[in-house]
Amino acid sequence: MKSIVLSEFAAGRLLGTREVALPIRDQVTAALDAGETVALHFAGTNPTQSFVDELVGVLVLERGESVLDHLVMKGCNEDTKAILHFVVGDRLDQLAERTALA
Amino acid sequence: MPHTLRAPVRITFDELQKFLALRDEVHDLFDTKIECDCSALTHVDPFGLCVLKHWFNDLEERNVVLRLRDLRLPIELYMRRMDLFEDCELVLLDDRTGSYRRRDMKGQLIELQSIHDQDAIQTAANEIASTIVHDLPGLDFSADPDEMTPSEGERAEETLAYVFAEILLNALSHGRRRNYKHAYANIAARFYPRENLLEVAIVDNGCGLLETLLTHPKLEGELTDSKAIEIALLPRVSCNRAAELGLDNTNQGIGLTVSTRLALAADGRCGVVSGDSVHSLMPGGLVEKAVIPYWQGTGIFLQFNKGVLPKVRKADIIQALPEFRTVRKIRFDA
Repeated sequence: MKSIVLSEFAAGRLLGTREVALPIRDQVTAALDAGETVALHFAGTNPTQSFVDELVGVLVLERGESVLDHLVMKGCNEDTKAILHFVVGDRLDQLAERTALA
Repeated sequence: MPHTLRAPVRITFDELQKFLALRDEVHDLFDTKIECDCSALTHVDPFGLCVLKHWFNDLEERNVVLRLRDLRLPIELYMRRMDLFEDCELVLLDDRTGSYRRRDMKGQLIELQSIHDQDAIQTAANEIASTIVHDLPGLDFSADPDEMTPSEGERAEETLAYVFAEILLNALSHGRRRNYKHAYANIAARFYPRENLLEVAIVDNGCGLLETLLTHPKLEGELTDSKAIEIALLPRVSCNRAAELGLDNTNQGIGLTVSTRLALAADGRCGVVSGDSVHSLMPGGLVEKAVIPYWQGTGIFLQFNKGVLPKVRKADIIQALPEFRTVRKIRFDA
């Protein structure tokens, strides 16, 4: 399992922008393509919805719901969990809309 | 002969119309001088500072010299303390602050900052939030012995950092995508100890909400700035789902929604300015709307009760959004 410690990318505890998430997602993508499961360590961080959407939401949109089988969210406080549920839920809904239109 | 203006008594979010009307009196001037009688000016809030800074920069680009006359010493001192005149070479005033004992306003003021680059947002949002909360009197930063629960100071800092990052990202990304390449955002904050209120303003000179949401289906039939503000405050409003912008630019548009609801949850209020409209939101759902002289861009005003701020939880706000749902397939692990 590949582990990514997200606090290493934070300013203080803040993981604030899509730009910060992009290179991290590249790491995740490479590991997923190599057949690995990826553990995202959120402990000690304060992520924004924008960051989480760029990191995880885009993966859901690109790879579908099954990508969640290969991602483990570690060290999440209640705020981070809420953001993850919202982001992933919304992207899953968007996927469903696209499928319905197709 | 210089053009003459008379500054209003207050340059604030609540009385923005008066300042913008003043600004419009000289909007088409180039290569000239303006004398502004500031004898009546007594108060400038963080929102006022942000719009003043934009105005000063705009005048400078047009090579217009602005002389501020009879500015009262306390207000001049406050403006200088907030770095309002930094890099404003064409704004002239009599510097009498040397003869005035500097009031120690530590814990009340956060200097105005201009953010130009998206790369700077994360660091700036963190630093500004950290500075604010560490200077606010009475916030407890003592660590939980088990280090499981953040202190109230840490919670307040996290909330503010989240809000600043999301709003600054909106400010600098939407305009840049629409050829407002030089758009930037001013951010300022002030704590009012008597009212126990922290006020924050973030004002940009980008494309504004109407242009951002021009193709949004909810705007159909009513292409107005007021309607754009109303829609922007709804969750899941995304201007960027359009395929031509590319997958990496999609977003879900809850940053502004959550930020404004955090302020309301903290017994404060909030407001949005864009184009010719201003919406002011109060706890309890009351919304006041007004028409104002045109502002090119978007301005956000947030007010937090310092005592309540540490108690508001982003999780509560997000879970209360209509579209929130628990996704059981997400794998969480301690």
